[in-house]
Amino acid sequence: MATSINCWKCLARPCATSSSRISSIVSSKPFSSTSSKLVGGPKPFKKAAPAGVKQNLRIKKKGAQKTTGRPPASGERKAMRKRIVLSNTNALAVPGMQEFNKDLVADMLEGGEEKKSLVGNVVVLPGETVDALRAIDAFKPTQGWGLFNKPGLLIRQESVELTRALVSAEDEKSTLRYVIEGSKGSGKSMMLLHAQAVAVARGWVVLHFPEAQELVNAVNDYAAIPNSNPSVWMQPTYTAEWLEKIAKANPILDTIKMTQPHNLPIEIPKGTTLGRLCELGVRDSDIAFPLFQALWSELNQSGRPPILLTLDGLSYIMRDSQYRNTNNELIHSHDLALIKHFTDFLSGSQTMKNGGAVIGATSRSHHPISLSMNLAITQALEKQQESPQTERQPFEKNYDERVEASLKDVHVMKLSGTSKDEARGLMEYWAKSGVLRQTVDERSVAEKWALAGNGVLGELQRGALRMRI
Amino acid sequence: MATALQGLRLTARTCCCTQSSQKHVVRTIGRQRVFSTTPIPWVSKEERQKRHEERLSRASKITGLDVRAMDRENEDMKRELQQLLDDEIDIGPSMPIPDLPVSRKKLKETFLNLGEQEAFEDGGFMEDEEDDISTLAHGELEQHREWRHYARLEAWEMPLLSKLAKPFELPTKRMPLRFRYTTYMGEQHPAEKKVVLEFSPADMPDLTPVQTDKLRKLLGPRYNPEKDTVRMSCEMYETQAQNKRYLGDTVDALLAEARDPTDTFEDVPLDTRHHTFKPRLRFPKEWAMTEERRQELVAQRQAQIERDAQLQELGHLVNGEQIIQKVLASRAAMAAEEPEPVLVGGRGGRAAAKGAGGKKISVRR
Repeated sequence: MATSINCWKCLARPCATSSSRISSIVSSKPFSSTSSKLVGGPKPFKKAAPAGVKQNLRIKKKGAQKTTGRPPASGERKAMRKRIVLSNTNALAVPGMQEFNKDLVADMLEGGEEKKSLVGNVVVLPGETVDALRAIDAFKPTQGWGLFNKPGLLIRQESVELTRALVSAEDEKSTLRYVIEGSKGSGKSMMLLHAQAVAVARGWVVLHFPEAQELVNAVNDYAAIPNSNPSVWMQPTYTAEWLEKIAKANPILDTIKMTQPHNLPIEIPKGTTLGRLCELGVRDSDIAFPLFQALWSELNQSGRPPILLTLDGLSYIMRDSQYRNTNNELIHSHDLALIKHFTDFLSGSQTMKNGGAVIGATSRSHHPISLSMNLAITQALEKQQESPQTERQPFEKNYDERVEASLKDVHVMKLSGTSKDEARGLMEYWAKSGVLRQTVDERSVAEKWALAGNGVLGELQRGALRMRI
Repeated sequence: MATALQGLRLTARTCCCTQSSQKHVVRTIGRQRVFSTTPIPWVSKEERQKRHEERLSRASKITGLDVRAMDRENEDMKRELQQLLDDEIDIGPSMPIPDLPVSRKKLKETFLNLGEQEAFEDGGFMEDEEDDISTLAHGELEQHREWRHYARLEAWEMPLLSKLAKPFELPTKRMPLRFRYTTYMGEQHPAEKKVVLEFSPADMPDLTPVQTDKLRKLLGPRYNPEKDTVRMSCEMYETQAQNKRYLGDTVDALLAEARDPTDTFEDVPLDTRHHTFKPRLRFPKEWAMTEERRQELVAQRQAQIERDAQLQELGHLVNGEQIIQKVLASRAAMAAEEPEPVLVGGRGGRAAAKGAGGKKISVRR
């Protein structure tokens, strides 16, 4: 310690000369004719950096950490990401919740003066509905199902309206054409799920495109349908998978038998159930699309249940797809057979014989911008409110005639925040489930409601359940 | 630093002051002639000799004297003088040398000799006779003079300007064009010549609505659809007047085109892509806090409190914390009622028992 300090009065660091003296003492040797190794004095200190180069105190990072253990198998991470947990045994079971069944749908529509309205209540989805909805991928991993004991659904004013429209479409055997619009987190996908739950409860056949993006982003195989002019493109693998979902979600298909002759690539005996038809399509993707067409025409025979056809992420199909035709040009989304099927019904050029509904929901997170769709929605809303119409921008080139035609005269449901009563009902459900450790009174409801941008449901959930400070 | 700069500024000012009088003196290069458009006729040696001979012969004819002999005498004297001079030069430097102009090197132009007429370095500056104040002091003096100059202007000349003042008159309907000029108060500036014109197509006289619309379409990106005004500028000519003239001509041309009935542009929509419409956000009247609104809010809050109190009384008010405590308590009670299952036998059971109570249970089989 003492030797290292060369000046007692200051805290200067020991200089090089003192150390060189020590080294010379150490290196002294008996007589030798060769020069010492240290002959030219000790080597000068190595400069840390050449002049002009900035020095900093940052310690160099070590190389990338070596991963230990087994790397995730292919598809494992995606499965983890897409995993949907619909039940949490740690959450408290809420007693006295009504089940979402046919009676409840009827109650929803009555809701008269003497009877208390169901709006603002959370109802539980029964097992068969959950199975059906799970089969068609109606639940999404971001919707927070894993926080609760059983999947529940809030009844909103808009959902009552939608239910009324669906039921009247069934009664009148007409085709309901709806587009659900709204800001991010306002419950568009949940409204779709509500429609599907109503359809399942009333014994409809439910067909759902859970992610429109998957139809158009060129990840599936595709082929032109023979003898179609202009070319229409089918997606065999996607159709096969979709048929599997349809068969799984609609057990009613097993009770319906084929009655019509069809020009199919394989021989199918008369009297085969529609469920079996779907199964055949799942087995062989090459014939999946013709089988789907056969299924659809069978469903449109008289005496069959109504059909609900839904799609989530509407703006993806309202522009060119990423598939290319034989001239290496982009194929318009509406030239893809499955999307064409959807848009034919959405535009009203085809109708369902036994009644039914076609509903598209827009997506507001990471969505492509379709000018024509936005314009059509704005115009439809203005028409519903009887306010002056917005016209096309005269010098804008990116409008799409086909998109505008497909969205002509659809009914647009604009979702915004919930009312305070609805928010209160939902928060009470959360408190009863043990995820909201608060007294649910007017004050706390008003606070959360205001912070959630006047009751936007996604924000309400985020503010009350996910952000814990 | 500031002092040094001040010194430099003053020095520069002195230098400038001394030279400023000579700045604009016109200097000519070469022999001075009366204004002429022809080049200077330079004469060759032989030609000059010939002319000289001619002149001599003419003079002798007129005077009758032997001018040629006199000329020769003159030449001899010249030669003699030259000889004398040459001899003197040969003598060397001991003799006094006449003051002759020394050839001087031309200096590179730098900041210090900027703008001087003769930027020469010869070391032949005037001897410092130490009878003058320093350069810095000269600078101070010069600055003071300048201040005084402006003070005199302010005191004597400025009041007279009010005589020239004209009362402002609102532009009439016949003056729809508004020009903007820029002055830099006597300083030179590249933007001085720019003229900006503003007008509204709606104010243009003798235009039908269709023609006014055509004018708007012709104006392109210079048209502001939010205010219905046009702004165009010109600075491509040397002077302000030229630029203004150009703008006036352009407006005339535009009006003529707008009145041209061959194509009324009624099928072309007005292009406003160049303009960003900014929404004007105003505080809504309904949001303003009035006494009525305040009372309304108080009543609402009171009603809320009452409703909550009512629910509390009925036991319908949902409290998340209490519900959790209740459920946990009931679970604990249920657990207490049921006898705790003890695993007997097997490693796990024994280890668990050990961990829990530290008791050893021996079992006979």
